[in-house]
Amino acid sequence: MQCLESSRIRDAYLDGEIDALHSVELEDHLATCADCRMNLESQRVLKGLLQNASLRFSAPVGLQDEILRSLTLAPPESPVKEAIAADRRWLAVPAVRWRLAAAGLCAVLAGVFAMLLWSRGHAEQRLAEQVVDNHIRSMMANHLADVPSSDQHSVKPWFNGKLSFSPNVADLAAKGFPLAGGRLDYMDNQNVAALVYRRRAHIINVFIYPASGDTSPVLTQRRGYNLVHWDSGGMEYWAVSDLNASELQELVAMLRS
Amino acid sequence: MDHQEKIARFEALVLRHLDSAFNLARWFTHNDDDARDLVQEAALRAFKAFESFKGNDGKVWLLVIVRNLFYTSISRKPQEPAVFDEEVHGAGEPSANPEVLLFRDIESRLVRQAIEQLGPEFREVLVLRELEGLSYREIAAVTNSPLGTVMSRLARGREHLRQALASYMKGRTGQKGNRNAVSGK
Repeated sequence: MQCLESSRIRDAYLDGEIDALHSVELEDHLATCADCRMNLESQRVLKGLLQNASLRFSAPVGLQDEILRSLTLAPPESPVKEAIAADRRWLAVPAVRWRLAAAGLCAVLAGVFAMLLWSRGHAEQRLAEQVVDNHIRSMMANHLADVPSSDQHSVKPWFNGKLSFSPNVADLAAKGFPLAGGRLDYMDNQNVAALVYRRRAHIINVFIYPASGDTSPVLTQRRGYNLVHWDSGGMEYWAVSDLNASELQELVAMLRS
Repeated sequence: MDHQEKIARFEALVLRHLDSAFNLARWFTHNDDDARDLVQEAALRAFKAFESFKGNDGKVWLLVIVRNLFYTSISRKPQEPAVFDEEVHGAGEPSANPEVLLFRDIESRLVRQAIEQLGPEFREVLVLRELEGLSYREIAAVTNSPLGTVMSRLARGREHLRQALASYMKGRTGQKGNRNAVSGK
């Protein structure tokens, strides 16, 4: 053991807070090191001086009785106590404190609720942006459909193995919305199914991916495109097109039926 | 719990450590009146919070409240310990060991003064250890510090104390020697 380590455990040794092993090691060192031995001696004498009872202050006579009296006279439950406390520190009155706490809690809850609404709205807007982006890209890149087919029985199976879900695919040609094909797309950090319908010269993209919830269709406009968003049957749907809103909603109604 | 019963339990578990609470408060505040106020307020708070007292160590619990109250109520922060001036106090010479002889007949008044002059962080752990007999673990709990910090503060506090007392005593005997020398002329 070196002197440095010896001085580090010296106090624990003096205070009896050392384990037997270290104690033996220190004693071995002390046997050979006069400096450390002397230092320990000084500290031992000093410790004796500190434990001199006259250094310790005792509570003044009567303090305990005074405290006990104040506890007896003013139990926290009693109205007397509340009145006294109200005089001095209104915050110390439990009722006020509860009311304040309740008010504070309400404010916090309202804040959290507002945040949730805001972040929901925010997420919705972000998704709508992605939907429009995807729609535009699908028309620009000459890559409207991975599986160009008007046959729902070849489009639906095409998604098998490419997605972790199977979207409903309906051919609505008889109702004026012929299916143009299916495509794999990406939004909201996941692969989604994109179904492509036509209405005269207009292209309609319908994005489908799994979600929980059940909400009625909501129509919005963004950058000149109409968007309809809804959830049903464990799926989230976004229909987007430059088609007019009423015809787009007509398609949505058929997809939901 | 009935109110009287609660008071009786409080007295038996917590209030019986009133001397310890007062001792710590007195070393904190440096005067009787402030110490008295501090302890009284701490006792009231302890009583209010007594329902939440789960442990069986009423002493540590009460001392924690005294300490927190001292540092928070008066918006006092645990100060950085005063820098110990090695030049003024002199580094302890480990040559012979006259210190043991010097310390033998030192008055407790001087020891008290030397403790008062320590940095508050050193004073606190020394008071808790030597005057209150708390274990390292209990001191760590009261001061809300890691065990290692408690140990190093104790060691440094003692070292400062030793050097201060040694240099004081040497100065005093030195003066005595000079006076004798003068009177001997």
